[in-house]
Amino acid sequence: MNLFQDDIVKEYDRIKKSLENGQPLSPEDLKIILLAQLNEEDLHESKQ
Amino acid sequence: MKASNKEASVESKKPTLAILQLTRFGDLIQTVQAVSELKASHPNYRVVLIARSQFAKPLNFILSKHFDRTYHLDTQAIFQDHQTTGLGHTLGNLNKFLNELSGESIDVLINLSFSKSSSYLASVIPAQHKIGSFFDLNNKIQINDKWSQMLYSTVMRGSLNPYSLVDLFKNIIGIKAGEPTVNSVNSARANLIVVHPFASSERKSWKSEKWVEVIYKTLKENDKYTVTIVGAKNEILKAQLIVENPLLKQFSGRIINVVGKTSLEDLSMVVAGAKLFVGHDSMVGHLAALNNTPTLTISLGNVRPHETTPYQKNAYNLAPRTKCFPCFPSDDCAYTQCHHDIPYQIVSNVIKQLVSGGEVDSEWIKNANSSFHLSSVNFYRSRFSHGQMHLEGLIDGHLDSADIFRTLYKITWSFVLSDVEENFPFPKLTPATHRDLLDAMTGLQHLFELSEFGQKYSRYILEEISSATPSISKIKEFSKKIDEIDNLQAMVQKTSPYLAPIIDYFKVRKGNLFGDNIVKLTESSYYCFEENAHLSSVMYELIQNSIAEYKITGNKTKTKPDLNK
Repeated sequence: MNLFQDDIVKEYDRIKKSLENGQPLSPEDLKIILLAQLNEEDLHESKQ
Repeated sequence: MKASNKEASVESKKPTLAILQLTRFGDLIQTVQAVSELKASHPNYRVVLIARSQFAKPLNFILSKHFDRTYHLDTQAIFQDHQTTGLGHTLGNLNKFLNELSGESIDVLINLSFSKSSSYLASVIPAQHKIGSFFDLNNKIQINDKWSQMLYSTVMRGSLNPYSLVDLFKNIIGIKAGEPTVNSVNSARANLIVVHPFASSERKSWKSEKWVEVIYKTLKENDKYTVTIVGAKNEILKAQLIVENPLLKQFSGRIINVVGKTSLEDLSMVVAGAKLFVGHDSMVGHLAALNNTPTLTISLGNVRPHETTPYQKNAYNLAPRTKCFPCFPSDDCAYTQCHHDIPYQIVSNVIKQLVSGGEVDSEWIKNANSSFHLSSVNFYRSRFSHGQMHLEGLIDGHLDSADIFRTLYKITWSFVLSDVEENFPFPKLTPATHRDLLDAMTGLQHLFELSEFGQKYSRYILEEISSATPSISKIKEFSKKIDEIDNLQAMVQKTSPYLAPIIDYFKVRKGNLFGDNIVKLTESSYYCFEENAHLSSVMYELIQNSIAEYKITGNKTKTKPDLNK
């Protein structure tokens, strides 16, 4: 079980929907995307 | 934490520049090289660095000399127990880091790393002005300054970027700097050659056997010298393969293996005391340049010598002439032909010449090396002009099309983006490079004409908007024409691949138009087409002059030092 991953998937769906509806992102949304990116880069780094 | 924030607020009256650099050791050292002269010429600026903890902390002995403060993005701490605590807790950890940063009143935030994560981080750090890439609230990447647009469109996109990363960083920050101090084989240094025979990926480094040959020949021919092999902990086994090779047994007393045994600070001291550094493209070469130790780099795989040669005067770089060099990290490569195309004999000959204090120039290369060995390599030496590093080819009579286009692009970018006039000799053309230049001229004619049309239709839109009864259908029709022109520009790249930098730069410029209404956006589009026409005409004229010179000299080797006149 990975709570962080589950939360990110839910948040990504919400962010995607609001962008599709033409709504701008909030600074908190940008932070969530940033965390997802950093997590992905760290995973990639640990595999190298 | 409180004391640190107090320190920031005391200093807050000073204009504050924050440099964001999330990439690895080598990039951090190159960032230091770019920033060092900014601190010297603008002591009234507060310059802070935002970097990843795992790369910045081991380099603190260097960073603390050049930055007023370093903020460590510690992802290990941010993601601690994230799988069980979830997003809320992790977000709280990120906010702690951002709160720490909020003690700074940042006037200009400069993102030099161009990764997705650094662009998102740049978007959540408050600053008066932002340079480099960041995301806006529509999740669209924004790059507003021209040098960052140039870097984004050209670096790692092919082999046609003529600039060192340090110079690109300087141009982005706006540093007009002189050249670094001259290096020479200093007699005060020990008779020591530092070798780093590894790199971050297999395709960028030779196998151990080839390094054994180089080290064997070096120790045999330079009997007063010792070789120190350096590297990280994960390179210990590879180092053993070299030092335990039977061929090197007779020299075991003159080989020091410190792989995995040094901190970066220790390593810096080892390199600083050596007469020469030899290795592949890695952070050790940049560390050597920072310590003014002469360097010889062997570039392989996806390494672009013009971007990453250690930033110093008289840095030497050997690169293969292999057709697929430089490749991309994602390219399949089973045979690594480029590894075979650089003979070890040239490397050891150059080492011998450099440690003896002799000149390594075109004449010496021709006389001291077999033409058979030279036929598969490019050999570059760095020099400085207008405070920027340039790699000059040392093998007489060999300039391929990429070499020629890089020089032409350097003149063009410097003139159009920085209003600096660079001087280079006319390139010596061959029938093949002549043909490539002629093809590019045709492409440039197309680009110029398309840009003229682009300006025309942008003007029509502006005229229509300012008319008494603007017609929406006419504006739509003109906009459609502009879209068609944008698509046609992209198609020119297929027939003229050497024009990719101009076309890619245009795409990035068009993707970052200024303005929040149709008038401002159309004006911005007009200027974009105007600049593209300017770039195309400067490039066209340079090619025209080069070809004219080629015809006058009738394929002979005469050159004149005034290509851009």
